[in-house]
Amino acid sequence: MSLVRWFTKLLAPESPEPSPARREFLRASAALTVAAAIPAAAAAATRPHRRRHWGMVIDLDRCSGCNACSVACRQENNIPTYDADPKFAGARPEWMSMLWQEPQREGGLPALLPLPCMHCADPPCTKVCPVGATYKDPDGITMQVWDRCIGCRYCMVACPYSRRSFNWTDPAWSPSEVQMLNPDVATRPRGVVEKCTFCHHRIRKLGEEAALQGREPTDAECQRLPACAAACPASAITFGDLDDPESRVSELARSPRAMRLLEHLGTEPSVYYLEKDRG
Amino acid sequence: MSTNDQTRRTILAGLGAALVPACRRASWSPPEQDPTARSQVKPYVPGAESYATYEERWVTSSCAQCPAACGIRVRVVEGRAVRIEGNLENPINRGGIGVRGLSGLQALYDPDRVTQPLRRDGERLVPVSWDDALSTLGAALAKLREQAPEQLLVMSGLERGFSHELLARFCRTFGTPNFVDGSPSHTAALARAMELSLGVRDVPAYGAENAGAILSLEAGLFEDACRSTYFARVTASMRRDRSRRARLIHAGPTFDLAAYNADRWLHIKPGTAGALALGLCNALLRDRTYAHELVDRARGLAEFRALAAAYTPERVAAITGCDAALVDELARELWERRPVLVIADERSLAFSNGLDTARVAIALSALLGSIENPLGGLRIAPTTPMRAWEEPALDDVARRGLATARLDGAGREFAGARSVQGTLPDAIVAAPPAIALLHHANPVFARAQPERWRDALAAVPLVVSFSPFVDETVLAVADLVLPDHTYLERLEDATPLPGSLRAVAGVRKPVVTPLHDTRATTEVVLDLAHRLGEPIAGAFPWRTSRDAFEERWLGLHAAARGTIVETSPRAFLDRFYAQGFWADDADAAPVPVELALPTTWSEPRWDGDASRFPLVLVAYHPLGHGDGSGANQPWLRNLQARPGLGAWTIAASISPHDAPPGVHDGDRVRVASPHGSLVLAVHLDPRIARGCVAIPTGGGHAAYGRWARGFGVNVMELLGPAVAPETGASLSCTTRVRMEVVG
Repeated sequence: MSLVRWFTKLLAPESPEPSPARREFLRASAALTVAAAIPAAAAAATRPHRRRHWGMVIDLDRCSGCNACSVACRQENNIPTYDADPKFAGARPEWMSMLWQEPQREGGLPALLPLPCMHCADPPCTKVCPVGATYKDPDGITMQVWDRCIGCRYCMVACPYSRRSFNWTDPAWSPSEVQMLNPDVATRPRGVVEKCTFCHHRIRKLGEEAALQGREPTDAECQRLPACAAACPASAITFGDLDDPESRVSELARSPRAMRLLEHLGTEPSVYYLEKDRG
Repeated sequence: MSTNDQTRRTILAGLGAALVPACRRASWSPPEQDPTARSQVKPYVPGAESYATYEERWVTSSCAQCPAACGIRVRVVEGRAVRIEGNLENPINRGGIGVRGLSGLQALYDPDRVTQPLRRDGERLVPVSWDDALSTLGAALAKLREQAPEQLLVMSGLERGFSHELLARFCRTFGTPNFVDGSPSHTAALARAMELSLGVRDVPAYGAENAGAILSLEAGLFEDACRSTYFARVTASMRRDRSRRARLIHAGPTFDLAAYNADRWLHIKPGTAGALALGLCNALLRDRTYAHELVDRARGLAEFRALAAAYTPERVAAITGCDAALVDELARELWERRPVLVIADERSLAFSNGLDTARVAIALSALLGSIENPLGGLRIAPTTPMRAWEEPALDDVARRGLATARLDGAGREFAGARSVQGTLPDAIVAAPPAIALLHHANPVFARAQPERWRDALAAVPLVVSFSPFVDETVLAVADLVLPDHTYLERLEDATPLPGSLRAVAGVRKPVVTPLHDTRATTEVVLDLAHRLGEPIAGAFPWRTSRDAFEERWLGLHAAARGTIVETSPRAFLDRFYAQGFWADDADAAPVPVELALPTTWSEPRWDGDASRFPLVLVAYHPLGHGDGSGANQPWLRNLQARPGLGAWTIAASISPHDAPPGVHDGDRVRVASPHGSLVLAVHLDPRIARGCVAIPTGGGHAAYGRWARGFGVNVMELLGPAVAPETGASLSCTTRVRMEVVG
């Protein structure tokens, strides 16, 4: 086993199949949990939660290009802002941004596309990370552990959607601006790649609150869960579980207008777009 | 060995059972599968060291970043505001929120705010205590009132709201007619068009939810911040949430967000949308396909028929530059899709013929049966059952002062105007007032010819600004700065710009305790009124501005309808503060109206010699920082002013056919007008109408904090002092320019 592979395995987030001893331990814990007859909420909380495949549908026929999604994302995820200095051009971190696409053919119309991370089911970025800093969460989110990233930027090269940003400088907030940072999202230091997490912390928070009430989060609660979806005045962004055929997001993803970006690459994005209907 | 193993397993199992309840909060996404699972461990965030409990609450309030006054919810963690979201319950925005609303935290936590009162000491502004500042100003006001009260000039950038009304009341009781209000993109001209056409002096409400189409006559539907959130919501809904898809048709010279979003974009020359509307009126009248009931009894019908008849499809094509065949086809489509919401808004009014165009738009609405139609179109804005303050008693001094002529000429030379901003610099130079109070106003940046404003205000012996930010006016001419709170620190009403068919009254609450030694301007006005003694003090019988506001809000309680109905006034106010707004039960019912039709429409006039300045300038408020008041908020600065332009870019958009030879996209060019010249980047835009240059406002701040200062250029330096003759509105699209290569 090469050193790199050994290291990767050591840090790999996806646990291998539990060892027999560990399986025994888990089984015993579960049995004891029930036997201990702790309150119902706690019992529900210990139950492994239903696996999800988080996904997003962006309806371009509803979207007006107002950019509320991108500003809401900056606010929620403590994305640093750099000034007009040209040295920052192209180097400003962006998780959700409005892509301006010139028409592909003569006489066609340009398009505005809100562009978050695609959270591919088969992401090219995770495969090239030498340190396991980016990985596929079991609920379908392509995660990035800031503390583990060594800044090699292989993932940025690998991502066909350019949805990863590198921190060329340490984020600088004045003592006044520091006060508005969201305490739920860690800031990223210089030399680290960052990206959209589908507002993982909001998903977690909702899950914890629901678990304490002994239930799963409902589809209605999830539809506007990420900051971008919550802000959208046109309700163009819908979030939810693509594995649940009843969810709104699955229903929309089955629309004949639905398409995914660069589908031919086989990355299986979890973000669907509904095409603009020009009347 | 096996016994040891057994023991170990048992111990582990026991431990596991003990740990289960402890881990229950973290177990929704099992930690062993997620190395970032840190529900119990707080992530590293600078400044979070001082948090002790992370105690969190959500405060409902209203936005003040633009006049729309959307409902917001603010997440406050241990006294710090960390997030703004839209309030799902509020009928104005129903949970959605625009970029300006989202950036409000950057205004609150702007590192370059005015942190305490300041007074001028030579070139510098030095700290002064509130007591000293107020007694200085109070004494100066008292002295002025004895001599010539009309020499007090009060400029307010607002057009509605209690703080605005308190200032107006102060001016009235003080005895000065010189209360000049209105924002740079002010809606007074639209209100005047409504008054001339329908007899109601107010901005109309829009019924788009069930309309078959929206026809925008050069309106900035998705960019001029006030209504962008509303139109984003209703256009999405009219496309996807109904059985029959409605259409958005936009006529305009530039490829802005309205053109991008339009189902059909009519590419017309700047300022000519009124001719298109007249052509449509002509087709409808000719084919006798119009709503007879209102139009046949309208005043001026015969003249209007004659006016419209002159706008044949061929003439419309010659004026607007669009295809002649399109006019009849569009008229048929609109008639078939009625009711149709025809909009001419602030941007349409920026041309010399703005008022005419707005009147023609109302006439077209009437022909299409789309005025006071419950299904959609233009509606008279509903009124909110707010209680009025008692009319103040005026003494002789006040009466004499109020009888003097206004400095700005409103009501005289400008018969249909209540305030005229554009004439003020010259009027101030001719007869400088003794004291000028500036509320939400930064004329040394945001008005045409900022230098003229600077020189004029420099002639005023005492200039007082209430700005919470060090803006250009503060820096250049203010003698006294009495910083207001930001909207997340003060209590006030949030009177929305009419637009909603449902009467809504919002409240803005202090979301956090004031960060600095600032004071709400409403409190300062009360304090000054009390210092001046009778009879002014008697007109302000409230201890705090909260008392004054509650007196008015209790009208909503007395109406005993809407979203809050309570038996006691106290219980009503408590729920009002908690919910953040009051809304009526239902949309306003249609009211009978009388229509007066316009008799003229003129082509746009341009300032400058066409041979020396062959292009016309379209100055527009970009999405984001708008007129520049949002330029201290980097999230807004980071937005593209127009689709296709880069972030942090103020560029002149021009058709490649009109650009000087050899100029490439991004090159620096000089744009010169008869009034000034600017050097900026060029954006070669194949979609912009020939013969015009579009430049966004809001760049080129010389002050206003670190995020605003020294970036881009201020297009206001190119504009002439154009003022609309009837309404007194400042016109931002009347100047001719030329573009040159920089040597």
